[in-house]
Amino acid sequence: MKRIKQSAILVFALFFFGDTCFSQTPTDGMVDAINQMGDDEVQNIQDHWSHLENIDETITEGIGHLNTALSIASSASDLYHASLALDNNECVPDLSVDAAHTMPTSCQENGACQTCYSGAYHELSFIRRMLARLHCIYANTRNFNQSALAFGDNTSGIHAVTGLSWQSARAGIVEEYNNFKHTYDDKYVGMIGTLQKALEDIGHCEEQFGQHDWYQRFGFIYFEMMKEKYKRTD
Amino acid sequence: MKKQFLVLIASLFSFFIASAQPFTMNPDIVPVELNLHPFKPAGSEKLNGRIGITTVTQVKDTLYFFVKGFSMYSPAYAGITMKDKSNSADVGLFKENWLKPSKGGNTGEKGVWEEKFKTEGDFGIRVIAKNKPCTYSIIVWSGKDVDVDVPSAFTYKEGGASGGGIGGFFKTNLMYIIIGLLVIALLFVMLKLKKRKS
Repeated sequence: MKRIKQSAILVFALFFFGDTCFSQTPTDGMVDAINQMGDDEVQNIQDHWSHLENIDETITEGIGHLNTALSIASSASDLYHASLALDNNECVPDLSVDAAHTMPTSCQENGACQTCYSGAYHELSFIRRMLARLHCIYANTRNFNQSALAFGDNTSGIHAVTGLSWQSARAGIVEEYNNFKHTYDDKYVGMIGTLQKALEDIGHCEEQFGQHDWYQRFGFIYFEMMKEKYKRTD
Repeated sequence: MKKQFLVLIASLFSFFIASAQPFTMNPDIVPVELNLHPFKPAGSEKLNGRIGITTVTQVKDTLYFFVKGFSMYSPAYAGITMKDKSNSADVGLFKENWLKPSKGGNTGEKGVWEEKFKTEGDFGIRVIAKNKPCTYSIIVWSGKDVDVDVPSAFTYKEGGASGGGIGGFFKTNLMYIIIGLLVIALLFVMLKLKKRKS
């Protein structure tokens, strides 16, 4: 009876943690063994978060390090703000506002007018964040392509065959980059349109609570400034 | 609208990652893609995001990996943990090409190398094993997008109405209204006095 019970526990344990204790691809010492956890295995880890002892110890330890690294920060937001960009040349979204480029508003932070303004303000902030990200994606891609082309141009001349294959690879990179530019332009048009709408909504609130013709007098200038800032120049 | 734009950004992003992973012309460099999976451990909200968990037994001198799908608005983490602490490996994170690491180091005596950062798109990981075979785990994590504060583009203008429509009108023209009421009151008193005299 005791033996049956033990085997039942064993079967249960295997069934329960079967996904977690995935088998290592056997390596004969000549081939690297790389085992990635799939959706189910990751799900298993999060389901048994406080009982990770049945998982491979290197993984448990690794997850422990991640946990420790994150526990130092009080929130994911703090961790984000404490982190630097991976590469020194990488574009980081610039959301700063020059004092000379601010717009006047007639609505104080806790005024009754807030109900009208808050939606438009939120939309404006969101689109500013997205535009800054779009700009960074573009800047990073441009730098990536430029350095790839420069690298290829400099090294392909060493050998005639490499030189020929590089010419075809180069054409591919240039074409892909040109397609990317068109994609950027399409997204830019869409986002700039949303920015304009958010500013017009603020203009409607100003009409109600503050200054007449606010968009024509202030919003439009800000809109034109943002349009130029994020416009592709090459 | 927000969702629509996230899709827009995502589609641009997917285009961007079509040319993902650090650039190389070396045919010997064949990086393995590490996949990220949704991750939401109970009671650890900070860890919500996506995670890639991999174990490797390396027999070659150098192995290359790459991960894609990172956002500049979310925190990221990459860590290598050695099984045998007496063994070590040089780890490098690469962005544009495989020549110069953007970040890097050695697993050292503790058998761990880790880095917190933020990045857009993809990045590469290179592991150079000191002694082979070398067994280690790679944990790559990307947090959820953080609501980054956007500085206000507005300056409050004194004298502007902060109340309601009609209220705002009264507030702006208060002085004229008081003067008008005083004039009416004065005329009313004068009329009364005139009537009494007559």
